[in-house]
Amino acid sequence: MEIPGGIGWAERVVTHLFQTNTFVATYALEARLDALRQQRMLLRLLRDDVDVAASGITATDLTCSWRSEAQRGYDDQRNDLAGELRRAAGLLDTALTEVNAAIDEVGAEMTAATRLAPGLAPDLVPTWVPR
Amino acid sequence: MTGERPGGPGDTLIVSGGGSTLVATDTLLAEAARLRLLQGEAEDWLERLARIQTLDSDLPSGPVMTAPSGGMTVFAARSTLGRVVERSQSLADALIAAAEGYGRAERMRDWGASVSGAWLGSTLGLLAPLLALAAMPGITVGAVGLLVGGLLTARRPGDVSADIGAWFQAHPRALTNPVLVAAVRVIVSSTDDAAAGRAGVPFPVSLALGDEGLGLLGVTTTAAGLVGLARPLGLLRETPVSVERLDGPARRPAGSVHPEAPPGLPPRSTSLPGTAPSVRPVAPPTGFGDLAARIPAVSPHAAQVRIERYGGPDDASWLVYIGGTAAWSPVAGEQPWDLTSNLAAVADQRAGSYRAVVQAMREAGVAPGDPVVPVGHSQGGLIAAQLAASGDFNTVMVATFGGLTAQVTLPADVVAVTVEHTDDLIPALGGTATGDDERLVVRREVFAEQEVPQGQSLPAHALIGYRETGRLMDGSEEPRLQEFRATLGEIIGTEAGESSRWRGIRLADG
Repeated sequence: MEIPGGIGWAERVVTHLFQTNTFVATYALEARLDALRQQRMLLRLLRDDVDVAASGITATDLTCSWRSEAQRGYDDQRNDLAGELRRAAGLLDTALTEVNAAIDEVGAEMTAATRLAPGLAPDLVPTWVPR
Repeated sequence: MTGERPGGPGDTLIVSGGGSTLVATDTLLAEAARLRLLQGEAEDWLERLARIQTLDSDLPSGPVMTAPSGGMTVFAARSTLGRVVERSQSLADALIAAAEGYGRAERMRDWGASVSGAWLGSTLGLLAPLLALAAMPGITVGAVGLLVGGLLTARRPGDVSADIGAWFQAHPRALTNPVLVAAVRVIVSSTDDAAAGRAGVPFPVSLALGDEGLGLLGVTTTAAGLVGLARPLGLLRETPVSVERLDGPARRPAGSVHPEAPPGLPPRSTSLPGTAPSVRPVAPPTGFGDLAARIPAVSPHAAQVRIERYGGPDDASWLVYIGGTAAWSPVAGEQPWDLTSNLAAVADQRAGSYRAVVQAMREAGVAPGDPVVPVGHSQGGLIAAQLAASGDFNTVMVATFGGLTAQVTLPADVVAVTVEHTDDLIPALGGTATGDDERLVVRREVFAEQEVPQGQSLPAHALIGYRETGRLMDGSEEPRLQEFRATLGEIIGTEAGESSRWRGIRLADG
């Protein structure tokens, strides 16, 4: 005996659950992507600021007007400080590269999740997914 | 230093005052300010990095916190930025400490020189008769030697002064020397102590009354005494003055022209008699270089004052440029920018040049409430400082170049910059600074490395040298010098103004 609408109903329920799960998963991925993008923007601004400071700190050439031992010692310390700034800028640059990689990774995860949910209503498909 | 600064001791600016006890080169002070700024920025960066990490901490698998190397990278960046904070702070502290130490040493040296000079002056004054007696044999031998030498070489005694002049011409470094300048400053400040000692005033009393104490006696009283002694002899006599606008319509000065004045009015540059005053549009000055460049150069019949007006009818602001001494005779002629005005101004007795400037400002239309910025060189610097101190006008800023301004106390609300060359003898004639105001003092030794030119009297006092120093100040990153330029820009704005030139003339007394 066939339950009226049985298989079709179960299929619809399973499909709906799957779509809901996929939607929740993609929503979480999208939120994470937003956070990563914000991190990238903030890191980029920070790196640029540190970069500018690193080049600015040694823009003034003191060697012509400062000639004593103490003044040369100061100049050395200032160069060390500029080195620290450049190092910090380099580290921030590396962190930025890692965030970029994470963004690509999350993007790929979202694409995969969308492909697993072919019945997902077109208006629910996130805008970043290639169609 | 920077692109504008070729470098070397001759281009080094020493900055002091401005309400601070620091004394250092502008480079050092700019460095300290830059490091303080960096310290603040680095602290801000650490906070920003912490916020970035907070974004990541909401996501346990985020790269900034937990990626294989990401966490380490950001941790290392935080640690590096932490070191930047510490290093910039300690370096800035070290620079400020050096400037504090330099300032302390300089104040101690100045105080020691001042007190020693006062004691020496007082003692010399007290022992003057004995010293004169003791020096008599030496003077006699010298006089006889000169006489015999003159007879043998057929030279007249009057040639001695020519010889002295020739010697100074051949040895220009003798008068262009920071050591001599410092000594002259102390001697000038000690003259009142010598007079007090001669009058039998005990040294502690004269010290208490002098520049080192209450300031009741000092260069001002010495100059007043000198003027008082000279006037009965027909010297240093003040006269009424009048002004005329050189680029305006012809107008004969009110009163009788001084008997020594040449017949007729001096030639005018642009306008014919009876025509309306011509307006000379002028761009606002952008810094110290422009200010110094617009001060009228010394010349017998040229304008001594240049007045620039900026702003609209309801918000006018004024720049008043005042030139230096143009006549050195102790007998007052037609030129108010003379030795008489110099001494009267140092004696704080409303010199002829001061009255001429005030008159020119009134005729130019300066209203009592209009912001005024006087700028002057040499005697003009002293007049500019006295204008600021007098409260006759609403002086908001003042800049002096090579002026005898040490004894003028400026109001606290007037932003003031005093520029002095340490090898310029003239500012030293104003004595030691009373140190009662918050002016910013910029010093430079012009001939620290370069040869002093021969055949030029007191080249370190030349306006051209101060113009060069003004340009160096414009190239400086010292925060207070930059602030002065910014404030000047706020007062006069960016729109073109109008310029006029004025010439003061002494009138016959009575």
